[in-house]
Amino acid sequence: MQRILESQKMPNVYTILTCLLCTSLMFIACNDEVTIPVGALDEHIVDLRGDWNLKIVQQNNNDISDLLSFTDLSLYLEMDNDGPTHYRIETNGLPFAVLADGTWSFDDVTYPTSITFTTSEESTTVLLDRPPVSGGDFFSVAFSLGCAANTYVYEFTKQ
Amino acid sequence: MTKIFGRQHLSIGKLMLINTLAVITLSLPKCFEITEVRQPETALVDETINIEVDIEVTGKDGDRLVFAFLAPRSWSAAKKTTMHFTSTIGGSNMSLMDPEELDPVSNLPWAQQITEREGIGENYGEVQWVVYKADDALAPPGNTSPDNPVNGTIFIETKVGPSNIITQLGYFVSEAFWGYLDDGNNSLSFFYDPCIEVSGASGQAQNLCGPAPRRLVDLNQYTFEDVLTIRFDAMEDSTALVGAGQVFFCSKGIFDSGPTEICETTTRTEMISGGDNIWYLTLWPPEYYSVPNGEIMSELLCNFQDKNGTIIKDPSGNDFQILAKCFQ
Repeated sequence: MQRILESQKMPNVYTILTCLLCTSLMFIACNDEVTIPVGALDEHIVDLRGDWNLKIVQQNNNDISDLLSFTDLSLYLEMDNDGPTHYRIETNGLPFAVLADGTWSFDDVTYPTSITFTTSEESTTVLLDRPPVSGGDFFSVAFSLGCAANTYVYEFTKQ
Repeated sequence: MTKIFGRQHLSIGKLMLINTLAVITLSLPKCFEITEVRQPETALVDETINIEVDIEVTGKDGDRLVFAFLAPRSWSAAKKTTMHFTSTIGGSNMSLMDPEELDPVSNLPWAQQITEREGIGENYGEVQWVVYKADDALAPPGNTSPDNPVNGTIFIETKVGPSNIITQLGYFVSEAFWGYLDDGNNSLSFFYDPCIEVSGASGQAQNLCGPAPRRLVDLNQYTFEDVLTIRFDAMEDSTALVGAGQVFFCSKGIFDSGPTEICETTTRTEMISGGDNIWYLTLWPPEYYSVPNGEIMSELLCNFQDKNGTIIKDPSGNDFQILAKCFQ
């Protein structure tokens, strides 16, 4: 009977020791300072400035890149420290959401989900098909040209 | 009564009743009769037309009228139609039915059920049933019968579409409580003959009452602002271009200011072979036809040719007609 009681007590001792060890490790860990680089948590404006060429065109998820000379379409996006400013477009007779030069803007300069192009006559918003990589080599936008039932995705690559 | 019963209880209870009723009423006449339809046989584009449908209600069951109107999708009838009725027991405005509302017997949306069971008349397609329901419940008197019907008239005001078209309009009457009974006695449809002709716009009419045209554009819906791929199957109708080495797309973009024709045997119009006598050409109409500033292209007329002068048109000898189809 006594042996049984002793064996029942043994796990309690181990449990206590384990808890003490964990607690002490926790205090040791909490004493280490975590160093965050200066500016690491700053939010930056997504940078899409530069010359972009149209590379891939999808119509309702079908690749139609080779059916018209889509690579003749190019877009030049300008930005300053506050974000997007002007854009220039060379359509060469190809369709896009806008066909004339103007200004452009993000809906959110840090986490953009859409771009609005504004000409002297109209303002057109296109959705960013994927979150753009700031300073990256490509971005893609989705929009409708005519019937809203049809979606076009244009993927641009940096020249 | 629909407020008293939940949907589940209603379905079970009603199905039992309907089965019994179906046996009893197999030899009975329909609960509705459409006795006369007054509808214009012609109209101008964008004109508002008035239609009157005389109805006899010959059964006393049910109290909320359901009425559907078959019209071309290009008319956007659900947005441009108003409807009401008068009768010997009163009248009511009729409102567009919630598209989610189900026929209580089939548990299918009313418009789908009507399309499947009544069809679309002589139209080859491009039309839709638009369903309305009475705002007010009006129960026929207990002595209503084929010999003592409730007489009424449904008044429809609708605006026809902006393009030339020939189409058959249709009408359907039922009631909401019992719904579309399997024996068909609680509903009735009627297709007006002859087809109505809407004219006044430029270009030839889209004849929905004629044979279905070739499908020449691969998109289900499109406008002339979309990138269009024209597809020509030389084997369809066994055309004289079967086995051709080259096929050219001869076309006219139609604008208010007149047509822009591009009919030449150059790389601009040369179609790409897809094999098996299928030919493709992709174009963006605003650029291809140099759309005049501010003008809208109303239709595209085309034929297919080779360099030897073989020209393929539609079976009636006219150019094939391509019209915008966008219903969103």
